[in-house]
Amino acid sequence: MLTLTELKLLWRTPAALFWGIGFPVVGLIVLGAIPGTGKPVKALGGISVLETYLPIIITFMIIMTSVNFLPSTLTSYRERGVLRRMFTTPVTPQALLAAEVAITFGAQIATGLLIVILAVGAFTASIGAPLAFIVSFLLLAAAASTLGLLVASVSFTAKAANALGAVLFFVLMFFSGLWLPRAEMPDWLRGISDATLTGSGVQAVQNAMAGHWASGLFFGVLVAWIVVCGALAIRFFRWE
Amino acid sequence: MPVIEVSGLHKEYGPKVAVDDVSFTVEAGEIFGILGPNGAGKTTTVECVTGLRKPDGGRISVLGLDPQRDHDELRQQVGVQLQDGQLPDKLRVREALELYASFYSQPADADELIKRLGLGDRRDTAFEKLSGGQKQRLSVALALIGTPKVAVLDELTTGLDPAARREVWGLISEIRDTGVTIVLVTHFMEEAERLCDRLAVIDRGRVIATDTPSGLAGRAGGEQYIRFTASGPLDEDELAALPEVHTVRQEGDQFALTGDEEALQAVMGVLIRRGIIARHLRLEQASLDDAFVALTGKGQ
Repeated sequence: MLTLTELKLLWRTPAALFWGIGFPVVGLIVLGAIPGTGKPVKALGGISVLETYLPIIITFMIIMTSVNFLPSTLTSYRERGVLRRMFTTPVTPQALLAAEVAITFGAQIATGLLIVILAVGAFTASIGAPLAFIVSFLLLAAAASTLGLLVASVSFTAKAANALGAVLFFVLMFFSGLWLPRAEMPDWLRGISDATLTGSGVQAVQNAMAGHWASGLFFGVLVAWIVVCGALAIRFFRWE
Repeated sequence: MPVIEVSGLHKEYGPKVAVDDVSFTVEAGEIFGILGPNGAGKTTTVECVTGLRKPDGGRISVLGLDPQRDHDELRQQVGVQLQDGQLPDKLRVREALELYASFYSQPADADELIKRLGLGDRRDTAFEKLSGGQKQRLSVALALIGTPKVAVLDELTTGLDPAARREVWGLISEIRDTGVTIVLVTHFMEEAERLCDRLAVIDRGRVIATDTPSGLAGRAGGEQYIRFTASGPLDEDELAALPEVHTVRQEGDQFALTGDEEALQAVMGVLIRRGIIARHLRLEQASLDDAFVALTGKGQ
């Protein structure tokens, strides 16, 4: 019931639907429709523009929902006493938290599926190692959501959460290769990117598309983000 | 057996003592007011009573339960309306009630409650589109959706316009008539005077008086203020000589007197004997306001 209600509320937030789901899907369609984006490019390590940007589009969608919308919703619930009110009922506010995370996860999986079906079905992308792809996707989503929970924990107001989320969004999207693909980054920059959750996430998804598991290092980075952000989020979380 | 028993409640936030020593009991079926100036410790007191905060000292029993130990059971039987507790903007009235109904083992009928609280035509209105009075009524509805035995309502009418305030007051009386015991936290004298059967006045973390509203008012000295315009010549000294009258002030044909509860009777006796009519007669009782100022030494 709680999850269903929160889902209805998400449905009534057009901005979240557009930026979180609509925009990445439209972005993919536009990219795929441009002639030549499906051809391998040497500068990108022998893969096509579409295949370079598919993981980045997926990452965009995940960061937008996990690091921007999730903390914004949670801090506004805290700020406005929604969590406090829930404390007085037989249901714990933890249930609300869980429902929010579940919805975010569900929306990401659904949108991810839509993006993959479009990219593979309508365009020329292929996913060589589906299992590696799924594991990479889920780890990336989990890392982003724990980072989002950390943002919610350290932000006193929804405004602060939005500001912090926006800054993180640009930093993380830069390292994912949105403006400068990872393959074109100088070594030192790619080294920093490797340590970010989006950099290693994109790499893991990319390798899975190419048909093999990424090096354990990238998965290690994602797991480290989950553990560190998770621990800090729990440490700093406040109900009111 | 009292529904709520609080004895020696103490709560500190760091170096700040929010509640020093608070004790009171609430009987079944009454509206019990907790009155006090802002920052007196009212909200902290009810937060401890409802188990939202862990007291640093003292004993609390609600329906025979310990708010900390029997947390889950208490939640089912105590409805709480918190100060500034809002809802998501896009949540609709009906959805909010159905959602909260799903939390309780024996929920009230959401539709019936909506009707009873006069929100029938707002059923599908989003929270953000409700007026202040409607938000408060929804808030009360959420406190009642679990069919509680006790409802705790904190600063229910703060920020409402007078009409909406009256509307919510009427509602509270009706709820009491259905057998729910109500704890009402307020800093409004008029609200306490109109609604409460008994009240505890809290100031600086301590209960400074517990009584009925009229009993408290009586503590301000039980004085009455009488004012009138005399239709004919009247001697100030004749009134001042009455044992029931304490002070008299005369300005032309206007008189202002203070006296005890029988002063009016005595003054009227004099006027009737003299064949004088008291025009523009006004009688004022010492109010809860006066009692409050006398007790706490502050004005509101």
